[in-house]
Amino acid sequence: MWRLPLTLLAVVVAVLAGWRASLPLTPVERKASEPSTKSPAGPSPSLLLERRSQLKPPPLTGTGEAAQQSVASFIDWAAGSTEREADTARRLLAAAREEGQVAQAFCDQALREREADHSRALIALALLGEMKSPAGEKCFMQLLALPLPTLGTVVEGEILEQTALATLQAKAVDGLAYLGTPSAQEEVLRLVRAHPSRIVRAEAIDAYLWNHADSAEAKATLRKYVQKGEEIFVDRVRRNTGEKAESFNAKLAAFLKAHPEVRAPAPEKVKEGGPAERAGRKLPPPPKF
Amino acid sequence: MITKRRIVVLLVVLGLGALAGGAYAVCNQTSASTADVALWNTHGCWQAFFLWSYQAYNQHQSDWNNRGWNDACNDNLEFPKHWNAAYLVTYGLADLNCCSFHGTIDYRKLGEAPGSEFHNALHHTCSDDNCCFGSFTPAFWPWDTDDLATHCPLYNATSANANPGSRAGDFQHEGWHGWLNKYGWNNGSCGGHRCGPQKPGDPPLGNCTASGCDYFYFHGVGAYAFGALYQTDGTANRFHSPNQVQVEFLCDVNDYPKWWVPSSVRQAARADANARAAQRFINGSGYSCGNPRPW
Repeated sequence: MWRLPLTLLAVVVAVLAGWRASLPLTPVERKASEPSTKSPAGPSPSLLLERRSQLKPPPLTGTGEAAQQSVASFIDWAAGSTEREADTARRLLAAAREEGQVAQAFCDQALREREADHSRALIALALLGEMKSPAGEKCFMQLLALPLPTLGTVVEGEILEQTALATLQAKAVDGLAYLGTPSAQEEVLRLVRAHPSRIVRAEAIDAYLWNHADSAEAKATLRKYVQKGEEIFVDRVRRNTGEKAESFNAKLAAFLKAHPEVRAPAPEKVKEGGPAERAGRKLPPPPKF
Repeated sequence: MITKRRIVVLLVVLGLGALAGGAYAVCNQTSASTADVALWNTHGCWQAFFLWSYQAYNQHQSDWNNRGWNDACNDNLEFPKHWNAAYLVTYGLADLNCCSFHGTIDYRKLGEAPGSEFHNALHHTCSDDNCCFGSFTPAFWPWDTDDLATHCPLYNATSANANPGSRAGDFQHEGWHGWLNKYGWNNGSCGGHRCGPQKPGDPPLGNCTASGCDYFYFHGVGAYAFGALYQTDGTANRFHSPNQVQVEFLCDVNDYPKWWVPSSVRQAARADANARAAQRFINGSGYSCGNPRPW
């Protein structure tokens, strides 16, 4: 007796479910309300930046747990530091060069955070590289020896976990090349030849060149190590931070002359005619900084 | 053995479950990356900005409701992370005629919602689909706007791209798909890119090892006046691809930011730019950004 209504109900539910599944995940209907917060309004960014400029870097010293605490605080400060504070950071790192446990604490932070907070691990490795500490060389070798994950979250054909580790290893290569000891240089050249990630190989080439003033001799050395098909990376154009147009454009012109094969083919149209105009509403200017 | 009655009950339960499927999961909301926190600390949750940016990016409560729409100062959530990246685009670039590839006016128009020479009107949404970092979907109905979605790998702190520069870089990348769509350019059939290796072991496409590949249309600094990034002469001499625009934006963040942009934001932008440049271009790598000096 109840079988028919129940079957009908099942059919209706199934049809509704199918209809619901065909809808996009984002609802079409949109509300006009504005975002909100319960937090009280704070000062403007310009005031906060003024406060930042008065912030002193934490001391970088100690042994054992004190070194770990000191390094954690220093990373917090350095992550938020501006280009005006770069020299201060460099000076403090150079002063701590012989403090083996401080260097080791940077290494520990990098290894601990590498799967939890990528940008923190990146900063820890950058600071360790700038220290030019013997402990840094050991740490970079250790990180570079980690195998790249072959399983994980595949995004646009790349395994996220693999790319994340490779970018950290690229930062470790920067540290090795900057350290410049014979063993570190030898390792950089080995990585140019043998590291499984192109991200790391490309950075090893770039870092080796930069630390040898982009000399012809350095390029000749690299050509002995570079993988087949990657020779062009030795001539790759770098835009140095602070570089002016004249300098960059001259390098680019020389690169394009030496490598006419890199010129892209003509782009291809799929439809002709002028663009469809759907301008939407006009915006007020952003709030004053 | 399943009886008819049980089958009916099962159908009802499954159907109701599917109906409830609208309450989908969200990205990892337990933390923010160090780079996100560092940039956040420069504004300390500037309310006037997010009350402007949600309009600039045409965001709607129904799309961002369980992502911090009503908790807009909680930087563990997607909406606050989105406007943190928008803040970087709006104020974070130095715009040096001597040196920058493009200017704030270019990057803003590319990412923001209103239609312009850069793209038709669009809206920003967030997606849990881990297929991609971002996606661009042209409007189906004439009265709708294009959809620019940023996905969880740009928000989950464990991901290398969960930082303000990479997220804002994706606004540029997807915005450029909007440009390609508006002007009718074909950039390839693999998600709007040329098809690179589709599975491990496939050979690279030229120098590209990613599944979606672009050409790099090299140009010097000063080749485009600020505001003219949208221009093309229809040849490879004056053209851009989505990954190229993204790399140039990330390079400008690293190399020529405003003085106050935190070092962690710059370092993460450089790492993303150089990884992308090494892997995603068919005709050799793109420019290398910034010095390899560690700090």
